[in-house]
Amino acid sequence: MFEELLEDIAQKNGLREVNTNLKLATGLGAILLCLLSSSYFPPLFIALVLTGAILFLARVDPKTYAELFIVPLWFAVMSVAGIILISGGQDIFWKWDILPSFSLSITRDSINQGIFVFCRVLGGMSALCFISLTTPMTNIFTVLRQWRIPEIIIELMMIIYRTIFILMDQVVQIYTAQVMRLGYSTVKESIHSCATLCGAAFIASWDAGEDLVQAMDARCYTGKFAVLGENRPVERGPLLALFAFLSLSAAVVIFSGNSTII
Amino acid sequence: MHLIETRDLCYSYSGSSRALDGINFIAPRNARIAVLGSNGAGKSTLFKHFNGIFKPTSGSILIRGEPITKQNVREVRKFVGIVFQNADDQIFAPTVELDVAFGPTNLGLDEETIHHRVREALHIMGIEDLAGRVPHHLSGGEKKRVAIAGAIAMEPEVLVLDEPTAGLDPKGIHDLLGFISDLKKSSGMTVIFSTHDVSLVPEIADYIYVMSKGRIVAQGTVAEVFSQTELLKSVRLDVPHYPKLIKSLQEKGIPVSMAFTFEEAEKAFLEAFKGRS
Ligand SMILES: Nc1ncnc2c1ncn2[C@@H]1O[C@H](COP(=O)(O)OP(=O)(O)OP(=O)(O)O)[C@@H](O)[C@H]1O
Ligand SMILES: [Mg+2]
Repeated sequence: MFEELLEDIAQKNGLREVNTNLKLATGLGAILLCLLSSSYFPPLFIALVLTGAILFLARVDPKTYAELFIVPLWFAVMSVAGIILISGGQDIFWKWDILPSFSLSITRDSINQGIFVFCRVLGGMSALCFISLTTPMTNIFTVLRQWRIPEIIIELMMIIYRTIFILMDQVVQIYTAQVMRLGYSTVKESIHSCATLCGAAFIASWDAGEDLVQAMDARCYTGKFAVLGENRPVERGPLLALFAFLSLSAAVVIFSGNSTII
Repeated sequence: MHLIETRDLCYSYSGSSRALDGINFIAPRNARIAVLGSNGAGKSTLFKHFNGIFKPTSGSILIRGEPITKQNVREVRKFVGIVFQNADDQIFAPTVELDVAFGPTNLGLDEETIHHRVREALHIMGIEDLAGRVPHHLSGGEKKRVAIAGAIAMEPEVLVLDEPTAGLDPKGIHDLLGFISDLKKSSGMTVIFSTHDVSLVPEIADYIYVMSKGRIVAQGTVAEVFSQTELLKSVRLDVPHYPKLIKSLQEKGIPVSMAFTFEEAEKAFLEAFKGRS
């Protein structure tokens, strides 16, 4: 499954041994710069650099990376098309008056706006991919504790993290069981099976929640989750790389000003 | 004073019939107690009373002579460690290591002790190499081991294992049995376990309870319980192979003395053969 895939890759990616703070700084810094930039170019630049890092430093399989990117990209394309058609502006290239008060048009401004949004999406996506593909969730928990995030939040995150997988397991199991007994052979059957699946998954997760509380109580739960693993030391190479990346991107943001594509 | 004692314990799940009906169960110090019973006999339900997760509908349960109250429930849970039947529900931390460390952390131990106990527990269960793994990628038997390690790491005085061998491979079963019998020598830990696999029981148990439909229908030592073939059959259980075989040989007039474990049986057969030659 998809989510398992993400964690799997993160568990054995090439940058796993790098200090978590550095990786988070890379991703978050990149997102921040994407938001600060008022030109289409810096997000594009950031997307390229981070994609390079993901493919060559973290050695993530290009095919999985592309698959990961395709769903949000599809959304981005759709919404960008909407932006281009709906928002108006000067230098009209094409115009269609559907209703007296509403028209679709393609203008220089709307194209620029669309491309800008699209590049931002690319930049933001690659930053998020960078974090999720290079940093296993467990390392993030360790770092959160170091940052003195309240225990209760970390704890909830840990439980939610684990519960997602339990729920997914349940759904996959029920689904497989249904498929094996030809639950999805006809349309009518499919609707019925799907409804049963939802109901069963709900009850199963409810039960699992109860069992979880029992199991935690049985081990003397008093509001503490162990967070053992220690963070990797900050090494010179990665630190320099981070610094170079952020300052270069910042420079690109500054110098590209609000230049547009056309 | 017994470590665990129940008196006429009854329990009904809300809205259904009795799951436990007048259970009198005693766990003395340093004992190995097997609870046998077919599916739905009430083993798991009984075990959940041992650390206050379930409260008796009627009757009482005493831990070290005292009933479980809100004030002492934490002490009780420190004292009685339970591994439930379904390992999936019990592993809730993001990695194996963190999960095993969960109990010790909540006991308020210092970091070094926690670390030591985790290593130790992982070593006993033979899963040191799983330490950093995420639990959702483990096999069923591996999860079971992690769950047991999580309980061992708390070093309880009574260890309650619900179907500990279900899903383990032969080596896993062998190691677990070895661990349980070592406990007897190394520490005074009492072990209570449930199983359907009667052939394991003589090797480790020194006292047996047989449950059926929420009641205890037989109890006693290995020899006492396994001589009641008819009764065991009537509650959908079986007699282990060695006593079964020996009994049938005896009925055919071959002089072999009764034996329950592998070693006893070996000795008995050797003697029988020596008598012939
Ligand atoms: N949550 C529940 N709600 C209602 N009834 C339950 C619940 N859990 C168990 N029961 C019923 O209680 C009885 C005893 O169940 P229990 O789980 O204790 O059996 P068991 O001896 O552990 O069986 P197994 O060997 O299959 O694990 C069964 O008849 C079962 O149907
Ligand atoms: Mg059970």
